[in-house]
Amino acid sequence: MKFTPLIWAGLWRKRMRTVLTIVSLMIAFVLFGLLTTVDEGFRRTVAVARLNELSVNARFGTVPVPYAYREEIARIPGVTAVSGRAGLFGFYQDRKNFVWVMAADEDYFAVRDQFAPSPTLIAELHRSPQAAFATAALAKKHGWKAGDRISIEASTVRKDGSRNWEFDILGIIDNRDNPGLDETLVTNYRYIDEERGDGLRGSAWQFFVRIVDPAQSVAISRRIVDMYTSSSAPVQAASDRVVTERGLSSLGNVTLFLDLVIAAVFFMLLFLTGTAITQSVRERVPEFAVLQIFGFSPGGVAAVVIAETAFQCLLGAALGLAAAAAIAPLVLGAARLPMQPVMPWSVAISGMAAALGVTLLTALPALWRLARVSPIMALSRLA
Amino acid sequence: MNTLAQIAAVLRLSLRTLSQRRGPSSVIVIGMAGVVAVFISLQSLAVGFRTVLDLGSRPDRVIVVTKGAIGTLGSSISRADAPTIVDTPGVKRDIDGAPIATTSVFADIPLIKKSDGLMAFTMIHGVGPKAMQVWPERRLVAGRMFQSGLRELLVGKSAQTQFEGLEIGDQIILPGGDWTVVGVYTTDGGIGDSMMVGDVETLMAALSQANFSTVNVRMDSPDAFAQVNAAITTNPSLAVDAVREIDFYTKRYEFALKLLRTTALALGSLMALGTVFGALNTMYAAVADRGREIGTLRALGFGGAPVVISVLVEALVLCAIGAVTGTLIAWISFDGSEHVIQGAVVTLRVTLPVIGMGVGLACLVALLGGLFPAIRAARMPIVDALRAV
Repeated sequence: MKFTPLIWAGLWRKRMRTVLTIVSLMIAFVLFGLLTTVDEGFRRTVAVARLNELSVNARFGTVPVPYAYREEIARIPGVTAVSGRAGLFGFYQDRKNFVWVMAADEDYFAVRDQFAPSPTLIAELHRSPQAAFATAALAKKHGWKAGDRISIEASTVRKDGSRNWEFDILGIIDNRDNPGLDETLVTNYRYIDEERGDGLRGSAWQFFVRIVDPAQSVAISRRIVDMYTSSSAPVQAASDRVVTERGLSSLGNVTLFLDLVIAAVFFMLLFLTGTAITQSVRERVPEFAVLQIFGFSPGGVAAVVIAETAFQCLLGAALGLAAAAAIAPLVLGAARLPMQPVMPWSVAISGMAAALGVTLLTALPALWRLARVSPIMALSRLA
Repeated sequence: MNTLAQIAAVLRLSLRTLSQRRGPSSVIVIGMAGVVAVFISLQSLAVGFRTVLDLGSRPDRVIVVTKGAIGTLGSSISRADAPTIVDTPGVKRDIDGAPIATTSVFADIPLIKKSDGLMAFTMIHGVGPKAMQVWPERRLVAGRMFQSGLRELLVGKSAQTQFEGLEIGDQIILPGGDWTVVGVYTTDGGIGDSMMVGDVETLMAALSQANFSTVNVRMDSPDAFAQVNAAITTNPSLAVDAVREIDFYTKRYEFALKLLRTTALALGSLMALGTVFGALNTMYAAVADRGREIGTLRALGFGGAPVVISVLVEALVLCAIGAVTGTLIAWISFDGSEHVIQGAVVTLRVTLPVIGMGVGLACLVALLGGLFPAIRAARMPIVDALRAV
């Protein structure tokens, strides 16, 4: 502790350099914080995607599949619940306000229990035609609340020839696994199926399948695919996890790219701090020699150098990570990435650990330089 | 000595002593190389994506979709409506007076990427007999044209290079039987190169689909859009929208396009800002190192301007070396590489305009990082500077 004034004086001897070093470290850690948040976010999105939930789609694009598949899939051993859904594409008031309406049958919430309205509400949904749940994000976007009646102009025509579908908002729901991201209007399957006038009655877009054992996800998926391979409506099936991974990989090799940029930023960081610290030590070699003459051990001098470095690295990292946490919601929200727009604590912790690593790695060359110069030589330069 | 000669002399001196400041100077070079490499790679990918869409669309082509549909999703046009749409005034006609238009149907089919063995989806586009006039840029490079009524496919050049199992003679499994690849076409870099093309009626039968997805028409000229649009949207028997081809694709890939652009910009500018501070550090140190030298020059009668300019030029030279290195890194690692983004095959091309943007960024960093140290160098009192001797 008694060396604190010495370290403090050393730090502010060249005020400009210390400030600039801290600021550039800070910016590097803003980048580190944001990129690692995105990286973690992708990993988390895949991790929370379920292995015990399969989705079954038409193998070829948007061809509807007979709803009757539901009973057949439900008979496969290991399957506990199957839900079929249909849907509408449409808009609310203005062409720009796209709304995806999902028509869910009675078993929907049994399979996808990440949405958890109360059993009474679920019963209510299936009792009353036109009833619908809006997810929190969708309700917020259009200012809907329970009790509202809304009209969606959809691309699917009704029996009476109109394209306006009316819904009564029964309640607001949200996905517990990934709150605030889904934008869906959930209505009941019977209503859409009976009202549609496009000749697709009795069809489904997709089935959700809940299975007992996640380890069986691949085997059961394959079994479902095989059941319909030679039918007129073949299907593809995969666990929610696989579908999520595939969705991310459709954006190119995102995580590899992120890791590369994080590595590049880190290399620049090391180099920049290392150079600044080495230079500051080099200029003060004679002073460190004086310290040694006054009885400082070489270890003591090294401790002073490390403390100076640590102060700059840790302060820069803390400021940078705090700034990253502050702007993460803005940046991630604007990019509309499928993840929670919040920097997790794990990123802050790994960031500070990285700052310690940078401290040690950058202090080393400076210490090496000091060790090679004997106090006598250093002092002769002073003379 | 006149100012120009002074500048030249100071500049020679500072560049010659540059090798003595190798360590700190490399901070600028390496930092700048990193910034420029990341920025150019991402920006080139964004530009490559844009180019694919631009090359794949023509201003005189229009896609007619159901009102409320997003892209082809949810779009369904009945057999009764299709002839009405095709007959709209403003639609181009061939020498026989037949409208140059086709009904289309789309099927997404899962394929395996050659690069990583992962599944990705690409589109089979079912088209009618006028298709080659609607898309005159689709040109056969191998094999032959598909025959209508048969389960035959043409594959786009990029799709063939990116996905497994698309050689001539290969079979593609669709409901109701296998389809044979009989030819390869190219649009010389357009989005069409990532797709496959077959006969619309046969494809609809295979998918047991009663309605078309879209109707695609050529217009008399790009200016005919207002006319075509007005005619079909005001027709009370139709519930459709006309979309220009480029708008259709831009909307379809909006998410990926926006993501690429914002990432390039955000990463580039944040990294550049970090490098500005690194450069300031380096240049202040350089000015301090050369205090005596600068003092001596000033005592000999050199003006302030040559000193300022020499410091700025030194920063510029270092940034330029970094920018060139970064450009080379991006070019060697990524130029010409193909990426599958949302089913579209995008070729990353490091082009001159993008390099120009990278170099501009480097110059900006050099000016911001060099200016304040340069001013300090010029303002340093000569007596103080010489006292350091």
